[in-house]
Amino acid sequence: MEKNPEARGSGAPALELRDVTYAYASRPRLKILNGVSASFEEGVMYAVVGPSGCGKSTLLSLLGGLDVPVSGEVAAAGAPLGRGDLARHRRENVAFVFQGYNLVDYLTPAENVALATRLPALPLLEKVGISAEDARRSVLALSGGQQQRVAIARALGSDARALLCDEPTGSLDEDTADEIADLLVRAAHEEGRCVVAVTHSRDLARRADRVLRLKRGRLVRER
Amino acid sequence: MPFPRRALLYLARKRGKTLTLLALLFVVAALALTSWSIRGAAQTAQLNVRQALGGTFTVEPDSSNMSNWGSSSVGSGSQITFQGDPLTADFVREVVEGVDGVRGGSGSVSNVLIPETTDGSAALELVEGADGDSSLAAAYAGDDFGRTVQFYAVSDSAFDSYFANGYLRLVDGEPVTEDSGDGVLVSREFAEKNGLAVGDEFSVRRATVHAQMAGIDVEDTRTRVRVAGVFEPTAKSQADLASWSMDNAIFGTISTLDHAREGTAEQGYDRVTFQVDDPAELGRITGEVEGLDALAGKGYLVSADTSDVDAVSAPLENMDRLVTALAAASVAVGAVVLYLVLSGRVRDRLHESGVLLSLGLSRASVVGQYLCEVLLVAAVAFALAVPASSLAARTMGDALLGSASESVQTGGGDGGVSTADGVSTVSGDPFAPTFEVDGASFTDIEVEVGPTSVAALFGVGIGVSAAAVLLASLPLRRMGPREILSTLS
Ligand SMILES: Nc1ncnc2c1ncn2[C@@H]1O[C@H](COP(=O)(O)OP(=O)(O)OP(=O)(O)O)[C@@H](O)[C@H]1O
Ligand SMILES: [Mg+2]
Repeated sequence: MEKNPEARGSGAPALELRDVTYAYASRPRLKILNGVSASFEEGVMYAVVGPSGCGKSTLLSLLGGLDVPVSGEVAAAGAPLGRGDLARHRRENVAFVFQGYNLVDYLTPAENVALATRLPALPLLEKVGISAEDARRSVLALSGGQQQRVAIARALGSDARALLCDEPTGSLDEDTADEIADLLVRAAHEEGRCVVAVTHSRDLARRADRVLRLKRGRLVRER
Repeated sequence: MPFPRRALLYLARKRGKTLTLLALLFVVAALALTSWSIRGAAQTAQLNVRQALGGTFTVEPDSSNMSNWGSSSVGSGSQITFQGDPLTADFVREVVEGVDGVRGGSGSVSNVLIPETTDGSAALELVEGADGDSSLAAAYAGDDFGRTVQFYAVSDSAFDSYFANGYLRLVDGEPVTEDSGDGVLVSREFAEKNGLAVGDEFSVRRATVHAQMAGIDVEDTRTRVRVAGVFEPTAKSQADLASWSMDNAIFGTISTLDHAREGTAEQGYDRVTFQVDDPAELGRITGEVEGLDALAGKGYLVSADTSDVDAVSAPLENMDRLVTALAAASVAVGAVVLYLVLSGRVRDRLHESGVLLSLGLSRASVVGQYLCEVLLVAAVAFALAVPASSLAARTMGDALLGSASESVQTGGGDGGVSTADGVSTVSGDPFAPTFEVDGASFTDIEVEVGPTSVAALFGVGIGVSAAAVLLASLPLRRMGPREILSTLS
């Protein structure tokens, strides 16, 4: 696959961090993010890497409106987010994909997709390789890879311009992880979404258009 | 996907959890509804008992204060008589009209007389007593005293304690009052034995031994009477002398008795029994009666005896308390258990809540789903509890009310003496017949799950369930989405 990050993307920033500082209330001295500024564009897949506990998940939760920075601001499509905008931001601008256990276990794959979108579920599931038959089974009967596909189909079904993924391949074998990586790359390149994937996986990072490393509260572009 | 649909899918697919919750809510609801219904029946039973037994008070000369009494010689002996104003029908009227809440009253004085044909040529046949005191009967074997029956002179038989308390029931003719002249009431069995019907006549006279004591000729005591009405006992009775049983008793006027036993009218009634509308007001009523001019300071004793009512009510009251406590406890314990179960479940579903919140669903939608699930199950559980507790209340209620009424010992009205074997005398007269009282009739009540209980169950049940869900969901409201989502990893 050709790698030309500068050519990719519309250039429109889906999400931005503007001089963001963050510390947990229980440890206010420890600045997990310290004056971070970054822009995440549509049509680009980003990988955020860094040692365990450095604050990658925290960064993702700020981007997703699950929490607010101590200082600085988070902006979506150029507009800064206030506290009152968070629920709408979660509903309209972003979609999450986690390491596992993304699904509601008493709902079928099709119903899980229907939680986030009014679009027909079956075509969305087919796009990520879930057959119509599997779409109506219990999610508990699906493999980990299949479950992760359903979560991605659900994210793709929403109108969200940004997909925020926390270790999306963390619990999967190499081949399956590769298939998931394909789906994320396609989401960025074919659907023009902004994909931010937090990961320890070198393979996944290699597939990203850009790699950002989080180190002592700073976000540094590696590639 | 709207939250009620998620709720339905949860209930349908997590069948084990749904059934557990259903069983829990069903048991609590059935317990509460059953005990509540039995409580209602116990209260109805108490009310019945009060209305059936209660509400009687008696006025009689105070025998503990001898200054009102004097002795006079009669024939070969002497007798002690009350020196105050006699108790008369006028006195009864004065009390009934002068005090609010008194339904009516009747004076009563009794003596033993012998019933015979009109011309005295033959004795009337008596109803064989069940089992009187045979030694007493043997003592009078050679005497006409063995043929005496109880004659009750009453001022209004309808309010006489035997009739007012339901021991006797008039089945033909009219009650006797002071205006009835020679009219009398006899029992149906006595009337049938002697071919008597309403309007027929016979006569009564004193026993030979009594006439001799008074120094008069027996024939002078003979008086003609006319059957004015026929009564029937509603319970079995027993007397010291077989012939004194209620089946042989005659109710008549004081003028008839005075003809047979001169001086009776002048001395007035031995006692007057009054019936009141509401037994709860007995205290006020007797207080007012004691203050009446006709009574005040004249040596009368006014007594209201509620011990009979209390004896019947006590076991029912205990049961009332028990089932009330049971109903309250089942609701309280049910609410606590429900809260514990639901908060456990909310904790187990924190992760699911996090997923839903991360998808942009509102907290209201998440809590609304939990609320919807519990209320749907509660509605079904309560609907099932209604027929179940209706059945349980009927069987358990019958058994409980039955055992409560078995321990009931009842007495009659005016100063009736209750005894441990459920036998009671109705008047204060120690020779009066005693009755076996069937306490069950007071508690023979349909135990039902009424529409108000059902409405209360749904109201309280839905309220408690909703409160338990909202309380159990508090962690969800307190935690930020980030904290909830940290449970994902
Ligand atoms: N709710 C919290 N309160 C206080 N400190 C927290 C909280 N959540 C995380 N932390 C701390 O913040 C730091 C960053 O956590 P975060 O989960 O963002 O790390 P991470 O880079 O995602 O780690 P990993 O790669 O292991 O997932 C860690 O030191 C963690 O212990
Ligand atoms: Mg993390």
